[in-house]
Amino acid sequence: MTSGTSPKATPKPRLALLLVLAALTLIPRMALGGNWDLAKLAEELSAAGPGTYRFLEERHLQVLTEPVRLEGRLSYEAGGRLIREVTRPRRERAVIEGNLLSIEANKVDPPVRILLSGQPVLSALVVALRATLQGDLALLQETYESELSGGSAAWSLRLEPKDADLRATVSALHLRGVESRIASIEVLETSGDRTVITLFGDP
Amino acid sequence: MIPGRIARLALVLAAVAALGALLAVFAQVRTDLSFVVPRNPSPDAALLAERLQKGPGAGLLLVALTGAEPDALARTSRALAESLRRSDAFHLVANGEIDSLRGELDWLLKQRYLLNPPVAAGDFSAEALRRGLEESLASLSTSYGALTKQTLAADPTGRLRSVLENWAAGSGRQGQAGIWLSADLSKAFLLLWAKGEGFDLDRQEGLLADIAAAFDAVRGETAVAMTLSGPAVFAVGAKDTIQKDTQMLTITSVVLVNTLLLLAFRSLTVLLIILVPLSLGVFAGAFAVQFAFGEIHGITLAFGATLIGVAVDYPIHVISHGAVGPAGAAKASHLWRTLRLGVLTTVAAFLPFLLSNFPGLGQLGLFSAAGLLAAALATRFLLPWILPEPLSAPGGAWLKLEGLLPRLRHLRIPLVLLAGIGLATMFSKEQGIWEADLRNLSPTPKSLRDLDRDLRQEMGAADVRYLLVLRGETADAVLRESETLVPVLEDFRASGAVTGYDFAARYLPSAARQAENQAALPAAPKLETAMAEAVAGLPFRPGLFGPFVEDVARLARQEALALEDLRTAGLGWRVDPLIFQQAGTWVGLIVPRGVRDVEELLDFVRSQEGLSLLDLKTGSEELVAAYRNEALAWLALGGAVALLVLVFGQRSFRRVFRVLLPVLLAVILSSSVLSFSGVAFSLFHLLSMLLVIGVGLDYALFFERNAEDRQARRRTLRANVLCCMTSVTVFAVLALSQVPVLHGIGVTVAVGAVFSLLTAAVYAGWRTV
Repeated sequence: MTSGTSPKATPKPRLALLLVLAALTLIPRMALGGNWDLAKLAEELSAAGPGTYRFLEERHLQVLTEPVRLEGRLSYEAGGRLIREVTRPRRERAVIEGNLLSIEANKVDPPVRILLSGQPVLSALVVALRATLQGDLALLQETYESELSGGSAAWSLRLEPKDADLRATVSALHLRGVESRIASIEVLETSGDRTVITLFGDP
Repeated sequence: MIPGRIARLALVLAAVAALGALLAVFAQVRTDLSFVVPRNPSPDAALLAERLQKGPGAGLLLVALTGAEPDALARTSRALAESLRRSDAFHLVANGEIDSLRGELDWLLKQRYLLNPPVAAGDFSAEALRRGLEESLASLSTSYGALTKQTLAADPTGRLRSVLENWAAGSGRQGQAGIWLSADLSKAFLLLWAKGEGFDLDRQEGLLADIAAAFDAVRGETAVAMTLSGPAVFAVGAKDTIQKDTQMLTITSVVLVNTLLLLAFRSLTVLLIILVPLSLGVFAGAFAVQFAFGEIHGITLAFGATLIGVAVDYPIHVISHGAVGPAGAAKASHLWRTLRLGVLTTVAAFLPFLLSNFPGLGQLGLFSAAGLLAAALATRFLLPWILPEPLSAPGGAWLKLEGLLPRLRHLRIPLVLLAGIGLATMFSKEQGIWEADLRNLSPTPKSLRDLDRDLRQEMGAADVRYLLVLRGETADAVLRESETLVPVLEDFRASGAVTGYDFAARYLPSAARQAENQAALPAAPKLETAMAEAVAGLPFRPGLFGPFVEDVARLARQEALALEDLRTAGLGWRVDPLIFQQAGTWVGLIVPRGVRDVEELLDFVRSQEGLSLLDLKTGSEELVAAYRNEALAWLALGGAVALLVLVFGQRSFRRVFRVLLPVLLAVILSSSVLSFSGVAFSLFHLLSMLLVIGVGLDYALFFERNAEDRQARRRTLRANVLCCMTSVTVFAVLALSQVPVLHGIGVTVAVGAVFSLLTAAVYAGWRTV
């Protein structure tokens, strides 16, 4: 039982209450920002499923003064098959299935077949791509030391190879993305060469 | 008396077993093509034999991996390749990957301007350089730009790639960089080239076992399966087949013959006694060959073991006629005279083979002669010592059979007519009666050969058939000579007369050609200017191509490459089969592929002095034919000698005729039957006919000499029929063999024995006194 309330006294407690409530709602989000982790990212990415992307690739090579620029389409299929079709500057079609890379330069010559395990840069890239697109957290963590920064809206994943042999050629990979879509992949080689692949949503 | 006899028998058997053990220890058995190679061959024949044994094909092994996804196949292929490379037992382990040539690639890069393709001065103009640079730039954007990146500084125009393409053109497998998979992705292939040469069977077996072990280790949990093919596989397969066959045949024939004899004589002791001269015969033959030739070929041994079927006649006659003890002394000596004539005639027919130029024929002749002689002598001298009481006279069924003998006379004319028809049919046969293909004489099972052919087709590693042969004083002379032929060879390729060709100078240019290449290389200042012009506007880092200019300068001054240099670099295996020394001269081979019309090649070869054409297929066929013709000649000689012996023994031409006619008719009749049923006669059929003659002669002689006395006639009949049955049994079992040669012998003698008994009975079996 109160003996009457003065209008001047109520705004302060209400404001405080509002502030507390706001804080209460904000805090969980900030705590969730810590809970949004690699596992969550992997989940979101795998949920996105198979798709086709347009890509722009820039190879920054030590031997050149300008980067080499490539354009094409990259398809990721359910089951882990990757198909890369380069349209410029030179037509090429590469299919990566399991450990096998098949390259067709044209319809005439038979495809060249190479084992991925013999190509460290390509191999690192493919593993990273596959692991993230499939949401295969185990594979990712098995191959790389990972460091995730940013949030669901804009994230950045740095991967460093665990295997010494691979580390001798590839120093790190950087994946950047927005929510459930990978926006760019960067491969840094120990030789100083660098490849940046930018992916666009609509083919 | 009885324990004494058993003791004697036991003693003799023990001695025989000991001899057998001794033989097993000392005998050196070979199982390869050396059987058909003459002792003093012409240079081309020597080359042929050498190429067949040591040529490009000799150390090659084809490996196919199947049974899993292409991914798993490729991974297994690489793992297996790495494992085999580490074992250092191979010159080459190729699974298609460039990586496999890593060490060699460095050397090829280093020497690239001394090698083919020829260098032209125009290759270093600014325009040409720019084209090369643009090409390199473009390849940096491909999926395998990594290789270009590595060699860019030293080799901006991709000269290394040209060198590699030229090397690949030699083998016809168009530079498929990357793991070899079949077109339908169901198989992965590897090509192995084993070190070492010649036919060392133990080493080959060890090699195959090592490969199998390496495969098991890398296979892991996958379902990948491996198939191997190649000369080593054939050799080991042949040896296995021969061994298994010999074991199977020996056991089966022994069991069957023993059963037969047991049924006939109803005594185990008799059985064991019969074994004695048989085994002594085989051992004597083997020892004789080992002593005279230093080794025994597996085929000789197998053939010799079939002598059992012939030599068994001797003890059977002795036992059947009961020529033992004091009462049988007269019989024994009469028997022995007949037996002696039969043996001597057969041995006389075999002996001339010893004079042959082919060691294989010599071995067979010696084995047969020594073996039969030993068996006969053992029968004569050893058997009486260990024989029990004489056997009872034959009764019952034998009586009835004897009654048939007179009636057989009616067959005399019909058989002659039949033989005439048979002879006519044989010689009117279109493709002739002879076997021409060397491979059908090989003891390799057909399944293995078919597998090899299929694999080779899929891998594009087809068998080589024609060789162009160049000879010269030095290796370089041969290389230079072959280079002068290139324009013509290129014409052939352009017109489709051949799909490609390989020769040593492709991989190692002559010193003169290397000097030409060097002369075309520009001096450093000129090259730098040209490069500066070529690079202008292209996004290459400045100063990048310093190593290129240095390399060119170095190569311009370098000493010419020689064969030794290639070998040191690990690339000797490419040239060694194509250029080598033979009897003091250097021989160079040009290997054409996909020859459309050999006449074009022949015309070309005839127009060039010092060039000859070797046809591996007909060459080996000619070898087979020469072998056979020689055998025929010796056979004729042997026949003449045998005839003389026979005449001397029978003492009357009429008696000789009575014995000879059935034998000849038997040979003609059995040959006709075989030929009619599709058999192509080889050397071994010829030799088997000798055995048939030997067997037939025995029947005829025994029939002829015992035709008056009824009892003797019956005993002879029993003996001959038993002999025939045992011979047919042994040789019918032999006919089951997978080895073509043994099969041929088995069929021939089995059929021949039956006909021999028939004709002997018809013409010599019965005579009114």
